[in-house]
Amino acid sequence: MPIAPVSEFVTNSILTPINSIYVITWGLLEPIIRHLTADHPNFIYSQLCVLTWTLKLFSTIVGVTATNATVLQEFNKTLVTYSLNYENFTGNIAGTRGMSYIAKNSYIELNNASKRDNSIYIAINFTRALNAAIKYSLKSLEMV
Amino acid sequence: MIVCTVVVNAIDLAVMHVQMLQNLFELMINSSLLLTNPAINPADIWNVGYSASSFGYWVAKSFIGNGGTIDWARQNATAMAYFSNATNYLGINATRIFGDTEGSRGMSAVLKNMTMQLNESFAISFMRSLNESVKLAYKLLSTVNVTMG
Repeated sequence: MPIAPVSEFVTNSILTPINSIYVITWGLLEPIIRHLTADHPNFIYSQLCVLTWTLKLFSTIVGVTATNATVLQEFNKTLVTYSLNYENFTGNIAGTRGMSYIAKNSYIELNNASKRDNSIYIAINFTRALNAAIKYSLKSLEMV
Repeated sequence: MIVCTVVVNAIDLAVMHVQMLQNLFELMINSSLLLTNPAINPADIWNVGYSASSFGYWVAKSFIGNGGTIDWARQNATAMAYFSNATNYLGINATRIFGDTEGSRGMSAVLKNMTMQLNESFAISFMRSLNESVKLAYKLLSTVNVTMG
C-alpha cells in the first residue's frame, strides 16, 4: 500500500528542497556581491584549487582501482550488481521505475497547471540564483 | 583584522587551470584504463549507461522540457527580469570579463597565460587521454550489436 501519493512526495521531498537550495544560493551570494572586496579573486581561486585537488583525489582513487586486483574485483562486483538491478536503481527511459520514476513525476508536478504558482515561484528563484551565481563567479575575472 | 594583501593575477589562475585540466585528463585516462580492463563486461557498462542516461533525461526535461523550469521562467516577467539582468551584466562588462584580442584582461588574459604554461607533460596527458578514450569507445562499440540484440 503506498505511504503517500507520488505527487505529494515529489512536491515535499524533491521540488521544495530544490527551491530552498535556490533561495539559499541567492540569499548567500547577493549580499556577498553587494559588498565585494578587492581580494574576491583569491576567494574564487581558492575554491577552484579545492576543485582541482578533488579531481586529483578522484583520479588517484580510480587509478588505484584500475591497478589493484582486489579493489578492481570489488569495483566489478558493484558494477555487476548495478547492471543487474539498474531498473530498480536509476530506472528506465519510460520513467516507470527507480530514480527515473521520481524525476519523471517531478517533471509532471512542475508541469501541472493547477500548481502554476508553485512552478513559477521555483522558476523565479532559479533565475535569481543563476543571476547571482554568474555575477559571483565572473566578478573575479573582472578584477584580474 | 586580517588584511589580504596578495591578490591572485591572471598567471596564478592560468597555472591553476592548467593543473585542473591535467588532473581531468588523468581522471579520463584512469577511468578508461579501469573500464577497458578485461575483467569488466561491456554489457554492464551499457546497462549502467542506459539507466543513468534515462534518469538524466527526466532531470533535464524538468529544466529544459516543455513545462520545465526554463519554460515557466520564460512566461514570467520577474523571472525574465533576473535573466535579463544576468545577460545585461555580461554585455556591459564583456571586455572586462572576456577580455580583448591582446589577451590583457579577463578570461583572455587567463587563456593567454595558460598557453604559456603548457608543457610536454600536459601534452602527453592530453594525447594519452584521447588514446585511452578511443580504446574504451572501441571496446564498447564493438559489442553494441551483441549487447542490444
